[in-house]
Amino acid sequence: MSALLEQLKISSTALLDEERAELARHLSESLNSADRLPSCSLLLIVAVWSEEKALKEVATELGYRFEKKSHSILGEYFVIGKVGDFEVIAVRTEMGSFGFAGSAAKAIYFKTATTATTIIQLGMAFGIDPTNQKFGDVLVSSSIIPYDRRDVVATDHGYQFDYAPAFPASPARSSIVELFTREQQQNELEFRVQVGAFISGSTRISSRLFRDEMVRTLQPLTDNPIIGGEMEGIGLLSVSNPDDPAWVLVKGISDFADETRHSHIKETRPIACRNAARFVLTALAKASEI
Amino acid sequence: MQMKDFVETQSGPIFTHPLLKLLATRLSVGILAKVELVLPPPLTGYQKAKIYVHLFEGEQEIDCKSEEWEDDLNAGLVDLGIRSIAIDVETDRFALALRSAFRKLENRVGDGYFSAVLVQFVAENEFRDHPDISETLKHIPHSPPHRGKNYDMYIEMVRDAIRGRGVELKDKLGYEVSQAVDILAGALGRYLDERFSLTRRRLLGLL
Repeated sequence: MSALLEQLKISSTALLDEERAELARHLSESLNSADRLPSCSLLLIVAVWSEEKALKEVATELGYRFEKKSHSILGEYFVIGKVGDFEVIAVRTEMGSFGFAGSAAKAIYFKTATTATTIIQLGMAFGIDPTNQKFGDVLVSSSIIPYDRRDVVATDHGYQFDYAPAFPASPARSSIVELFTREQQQNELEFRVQVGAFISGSTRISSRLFRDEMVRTLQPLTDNPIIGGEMEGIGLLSVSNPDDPAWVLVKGISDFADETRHSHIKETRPIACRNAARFVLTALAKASEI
Repeated sequence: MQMKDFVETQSGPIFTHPLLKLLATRLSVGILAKVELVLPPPLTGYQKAKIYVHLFEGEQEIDCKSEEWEDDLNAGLVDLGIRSIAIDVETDRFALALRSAFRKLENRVGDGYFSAVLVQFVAENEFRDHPDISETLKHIPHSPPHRGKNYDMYIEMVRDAIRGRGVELKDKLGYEVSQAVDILAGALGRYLDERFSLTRRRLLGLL
């Protein structure tokens, strides 16, 4: 294949760069088997079917592909195509960070195999302030606080949690956070966007008391305002060098991790997922306009 | 120190890391220093790099200081003229220095566009023919970047980031031109390899 591509380069010197690249792309696609490894610069990772569905709907509405493909080693993925300056592929993992096909495992495989430099975990999260946040608001992580990383120490009256081991918080990829922050400042969409710290762990929380106690304990330990929480982000901490993180979380608020979440989440989940997907694809498309 | 002293130019260097001040003092009395870098193997998970600074009195090692990699710390070590213990280590070190140098542009234009501009620059430059880069370049997917009004400025920023490291190798660390070029090309090759996960893919049989 590479010899043919070399010939293509030599014989098509009169063509523009873009035309040459397009021809090379068609040629390599036709020469390769269906099991060719996908190549992309940005991975969108979703964890549940409703997140995948929302991404597919929004991508289609905005005129992008959502082409399902399969690889014998990596499994299924979806080609979205060129969004701004990014070649984008979406992958669905299992819910949660760990486990055979959780966010950690799949992100590692796909990042390595596709040469992606950026990973966006997309979907839904819980908000931490029902007074000032709304269902459907989109949250962007500037950092992750892994709340499971804690010591349990005995006290005279029982035990307490020491969250010092969870700090310093792990920063998200600065280039993509900056891109989303610029988009947040120009936000022309109908929902609010916040950038701040996420708390992330393996616990499914349905208690206002637990949520508030954790935020009250963690907030003084970080300068970044805590804006929400979820369950997949900690898996992404193992995907890249802590000096050069590859990930960011972009999630819509579907609930507030309290006693009422089960009563409304069927209605709020699709809104949260669609808003997050729309925000990401809109921001990525504008990136090349700088 | 009086308030007016805070607006006067300082006569000596300003150190951004406590280790640098210690090293400057040691170097001033004839102690020699060399940098060693420890990078985790590519498939054992992602960890921070560690810097070790070995101190020698003549041939005798008298002390060793270790710190996690920090871009400012490394820049300070380069300013103090402290070389690495071996050329291979110097190459790894300058790959990390390039990562730091590219970060500002990457943050400004985004990962996708930055990757496209960087690969375009390398492909159009003599670097593409260097043995440490030519093989790497074959495995990096590349679509030419959009040539908007700022394209030339971004290409210049890439050039300046690379040239800045080259000048450090020659002028601050005292390498001969040909050796500085080889280290710089090797560093650029390793940066590209890490950015696009090439060694990991090769080790997993995906390349």
